[in-house]
Amino acid sequence: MKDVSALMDGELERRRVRSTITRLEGQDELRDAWATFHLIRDTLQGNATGSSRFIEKFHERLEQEPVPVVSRWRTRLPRQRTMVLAGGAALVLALAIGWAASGGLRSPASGGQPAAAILVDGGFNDSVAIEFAMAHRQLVPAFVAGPAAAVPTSATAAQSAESRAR
Amino acid sequence: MSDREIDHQLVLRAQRGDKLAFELLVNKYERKLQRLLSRLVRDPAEVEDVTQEAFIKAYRALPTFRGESAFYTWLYRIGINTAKNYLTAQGRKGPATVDIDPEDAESASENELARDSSTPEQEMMSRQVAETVNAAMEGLPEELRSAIMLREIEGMSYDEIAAIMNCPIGTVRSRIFRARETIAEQLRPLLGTHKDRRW
Repeated sequence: MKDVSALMDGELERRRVRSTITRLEGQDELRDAWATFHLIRDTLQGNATGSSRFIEKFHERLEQEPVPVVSRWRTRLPRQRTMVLAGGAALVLALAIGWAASGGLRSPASGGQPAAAILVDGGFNDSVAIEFAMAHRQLVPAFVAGPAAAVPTSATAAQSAESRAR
Repeated sequence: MSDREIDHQLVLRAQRGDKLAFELLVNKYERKLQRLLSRLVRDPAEVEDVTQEAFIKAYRALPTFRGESAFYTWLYRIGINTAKNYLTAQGRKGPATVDIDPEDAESASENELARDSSTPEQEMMSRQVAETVNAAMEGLPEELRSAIMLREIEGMSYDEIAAIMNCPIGTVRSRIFRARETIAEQLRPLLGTHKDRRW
């Protein structure tokens, strides 16, 4: 009951909130304490009004109500939603790095050099991103083997076109 | 965990189909919402009906609650709309000033209105409860009385109370709990125990 008292004050340790609410729902004695402690609060604050049978009447009405349908996404805590979004963002970032490293972005001015190589050569110095790319080199062979080895430049493309013509 | 977060936890449980969690919220806010709605709907019997209806509407609307505002702020809007619709359906108009700030609605300054709009039975019950609580408060040891007053009247956190009373937070927690338990013990004959009522 001490935990119920702290819970209603918003002063219970985070790790104990869930278990206390579960106990609160499962034990008449604790729910009785929750109701009475709130009545004491309202009385001390000058809000004691209404019928003592309010909750009984409400309970009877609520029993008739179907359970509302809520998507699982909505029932996640904001923190959980943020973690899911952050995970998704990290995945997108990883795919973007892989795509860029395999030559997804090529500037004519760079002579067909892959964007990842340009970024590294040009001073992109995010060691975490580089480590990530190295760890996933099977996905980004161009990054590891070097741009010239994996990605046809305009010169090599011209040579292969020439050999095909022969 | 803050009070708002705890409400949100209860809402999440209710959204997953846990009706008891919603009843805990009803238990927490029933008097506050009734007091608010008694500003619009003056007949005491109607106030209770409109409040019940507002809670049912809130329950049905749970899928739309995303936790961007506090639960009470959301409930308050539903309550005001329910009361307005009720008065319109009755061909009546509520007071011109119905846009009460939810924060103001939570303050204790308007309780006179609520008291005026109670039925004789509610009025008697409220008076008995108030007398019992006051008598129990008078009988509390000084340190328990101070702790619960700082919490319930002044709205202080345990941290602040600990600083004022110059004691550890754990002691504040114990004192507030013991004060509540002592008062509750004296209220129980008046209210009945959980065996006699829903809770």
